Amino acid sequence: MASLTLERVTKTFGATRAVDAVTLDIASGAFVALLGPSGCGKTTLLRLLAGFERADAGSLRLNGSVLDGPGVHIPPERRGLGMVFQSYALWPHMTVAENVGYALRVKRVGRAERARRVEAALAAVGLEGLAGRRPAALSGGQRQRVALARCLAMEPPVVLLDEPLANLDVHLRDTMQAEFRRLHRETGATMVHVTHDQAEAMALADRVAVMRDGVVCQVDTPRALFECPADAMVATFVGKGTLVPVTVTGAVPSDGGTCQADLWGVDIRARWDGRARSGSARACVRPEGLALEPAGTPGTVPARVLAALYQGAATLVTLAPEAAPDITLTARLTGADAPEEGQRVGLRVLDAWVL
Amino acid sequence: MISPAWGRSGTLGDGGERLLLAAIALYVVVFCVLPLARLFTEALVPTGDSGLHLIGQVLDSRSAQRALWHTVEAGLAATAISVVLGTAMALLVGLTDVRWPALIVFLLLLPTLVPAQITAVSWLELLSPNSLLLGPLGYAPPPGSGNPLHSREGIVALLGIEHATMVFLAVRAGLRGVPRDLIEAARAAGAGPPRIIWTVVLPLLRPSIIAGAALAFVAAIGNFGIPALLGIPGRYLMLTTLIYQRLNGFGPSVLGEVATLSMVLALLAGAGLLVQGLMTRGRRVEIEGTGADGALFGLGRARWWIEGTAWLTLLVMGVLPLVALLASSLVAAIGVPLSLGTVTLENYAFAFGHGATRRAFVNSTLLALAAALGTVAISVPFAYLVLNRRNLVARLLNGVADAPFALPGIVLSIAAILTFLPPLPLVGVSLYNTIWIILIAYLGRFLAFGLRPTLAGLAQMDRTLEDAARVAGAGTLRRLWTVVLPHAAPAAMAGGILVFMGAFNELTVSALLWSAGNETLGVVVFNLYDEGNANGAAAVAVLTVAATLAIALLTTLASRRLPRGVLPWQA
Repeated sequence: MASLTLERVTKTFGATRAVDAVTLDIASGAFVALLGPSGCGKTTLLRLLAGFERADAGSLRLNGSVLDGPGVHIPPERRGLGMVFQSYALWPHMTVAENVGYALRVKRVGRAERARRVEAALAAVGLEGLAGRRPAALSGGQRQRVALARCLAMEPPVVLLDEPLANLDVHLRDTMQAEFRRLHRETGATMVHVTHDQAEAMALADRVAVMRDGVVCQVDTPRALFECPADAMVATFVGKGTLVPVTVTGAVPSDGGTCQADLWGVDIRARWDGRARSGSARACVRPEGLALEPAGTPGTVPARVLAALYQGAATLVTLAPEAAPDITLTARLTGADAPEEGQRVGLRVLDAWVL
Repeated sequence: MISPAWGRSGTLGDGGERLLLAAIALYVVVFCVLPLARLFTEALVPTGDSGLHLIGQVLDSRSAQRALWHTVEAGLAATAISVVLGTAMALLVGLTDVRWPALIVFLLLLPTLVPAQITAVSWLELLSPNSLLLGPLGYAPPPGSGNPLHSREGIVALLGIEHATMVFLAVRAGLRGVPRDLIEAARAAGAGPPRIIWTVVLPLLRPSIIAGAALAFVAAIGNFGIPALLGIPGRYLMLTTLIYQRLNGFGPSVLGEVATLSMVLALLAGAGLLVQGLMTRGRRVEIEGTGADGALFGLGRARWWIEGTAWLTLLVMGVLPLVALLASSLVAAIGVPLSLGTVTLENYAFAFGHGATRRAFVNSTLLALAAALGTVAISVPFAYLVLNRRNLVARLLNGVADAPFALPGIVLSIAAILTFLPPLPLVGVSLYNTIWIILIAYLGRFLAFGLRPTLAGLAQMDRTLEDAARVAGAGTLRRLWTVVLPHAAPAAMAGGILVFMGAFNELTVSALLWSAGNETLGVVVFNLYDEGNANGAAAVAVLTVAATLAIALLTTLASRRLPRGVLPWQA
């Protein structure tokens, strides 16, 4: 079992800070997702963990012993971490079994023991019987499984996953997500998973670290990330949130988690963490937290419908509040009646989160 | 309304396109196809001979058999040296954080800029009993003993060093095609650099290494300068030197015999090129992400040891011989030690005063200039028809255009003699013993030099630019002149410069085609050395090397204005 500790880890490429003073604790046995838009530094962070990049400042520890820090840099081949690459990186000149058994051969594991572990790793990913094939003769999903088996055969304490599902079609992706969860449960290895897909991050990880511009904005459980985003970036990146200006007028006496706020002259209730100060602030509203009522209903925000997109299970309605027509809000309606474009409606805020 | 002109400019092309195609076909047929076809028929059915029995006669002769064996033996041994040197250097430069990689690449590419006969003279000067460099250190061979390079081992060593560049370039390009992930995955699996190189990198590079080796082999068996200067005194004849000796000794009467010998040499080279083609075809691995070219491995504690070995090798390979050459050019005669008191510019004065040498400077410059202009003039429309028009005939001709350069130069010169010794039809004049036969051979030999960069440059042009001109109503010739030429010009210029440098330094072709009054620089260096005027030869060699390096330097400085990939030494 292995825990990773990052302390103010920084990596610059020329003038850009790809990773900027990142401090992060990854507990033993955790499944952590590094989530962010492309170019946010998540892959660089993963490569720092693997040892392919060297930190310019800060330190990285595995179970308390320094892997990377001032004057110390353990090369990747001596870290013993498993890694699954986005491209799978299967060696084309070796068979599936040779690919999977490579690390064991490097470690001088005996032939019989090696064969047993290769077989077990292939069985774990459901690829029995393909040991003699070359990677070129496999489908995309099978290659992904070989890459996974190659990593598992090492029995690594930490598994690093670099967008491993990005090259798979949607259907296979769901299957492999379930597979990852199962393997995480069975092996108990610490897993660090890089992705730009928030649904994937939420489905897989028990903790998600959201990154932007080399900085970790928030580390939380998927649920907390969705319901209580720490800042504007997380609020808008995760779950299509929209920020609206509010004035907090006071705490709700009976409920420490809720406050009264004013939104464009309408009094609403919003969740807050109590540390948020009174006065003007920003609140995050999501499509699921908005409902439509007839125009003029008391307690609703007057708005005009811009468009209604029918999506089967729900209808997405985009609206412009009359008080601030340049802000676009989206409501997700599961009921039958979709409004007309251009129609005036009353918008009820069922749920909002004060940043 | 559809005008008839539109109807004609379909797949067949308009009048302009047909005119261009005719010009290109004429060029390729006269300078490439005709001579090689003539050689082929002469070898099979010699003039004035009724059957195939000459082939049997030639191949039965002991000297031919020995030369063939020497060619194979020395070619393979030299290739082994090239593979080891070239691969090691490519891995060092491509995979590690070795310092000053650009300087290493430059030193490795020196042999492509210094012609073989000058390399040979330089090494002979370095290792002669009178060596100006090794003598004072006490390492020169004892006086009176021969030059150790006058031997099979000497030839093998020099050919191996000379063509290591080819393996280096092939392996370097191959490395760019190895996905970086594959190496990182091996590191993550716990393998150290030596094991990764042995189990992952080298197996993946095998096609590139074999392709590079095949090229080095073809170059080694076709080389003339090195086996001529080392092997003729050392009595170790290869096919190239046997052909040269036979033709020089007996004149055109043995043309049938040397034609057969050149066919054997051409077949040997063809086998090598076939291997190379098989290894490079259809092996374009698609790379996801970046190729493995960059400092993936730190040299760490082995740095001093590895860098020391590399620099020592490069110094001995590329720098020391040239220093020896420079030293020899600065003393008055063999045996005079080099000191401040003995330094003299006499040899340089001789180089400019000696009639044949002065003529050679003029001849080589004019020949190289004419070859460059002719090649550039044909390369632009050629590349245009191949790439933009996808013209089938032009694409076929493009395949043939490589042959005169890919085959050993001596094969081409025999072919040129066979074709142009008989008086030209209509005019009734023979081109043999004139400077024109050299020019004709150069126009064929260096076509590939001009065409390759032009193709590479034009491939980067946006096709819609020409389509726009087409929509605007411009015909083929106008489009070629106003739209294509401006885009192809920088690359074509670079190609022209390569042709110039190649032709300016060339010996292999002109060794058989020169005549009194029509000497080239290569021939003069060779002859001066052969006559025993090593110091004069050194001076001429220093001047040509200096001129070549200056041109290469100027081109490199101007390369920011060139499309990517047109200068071979910038790969």
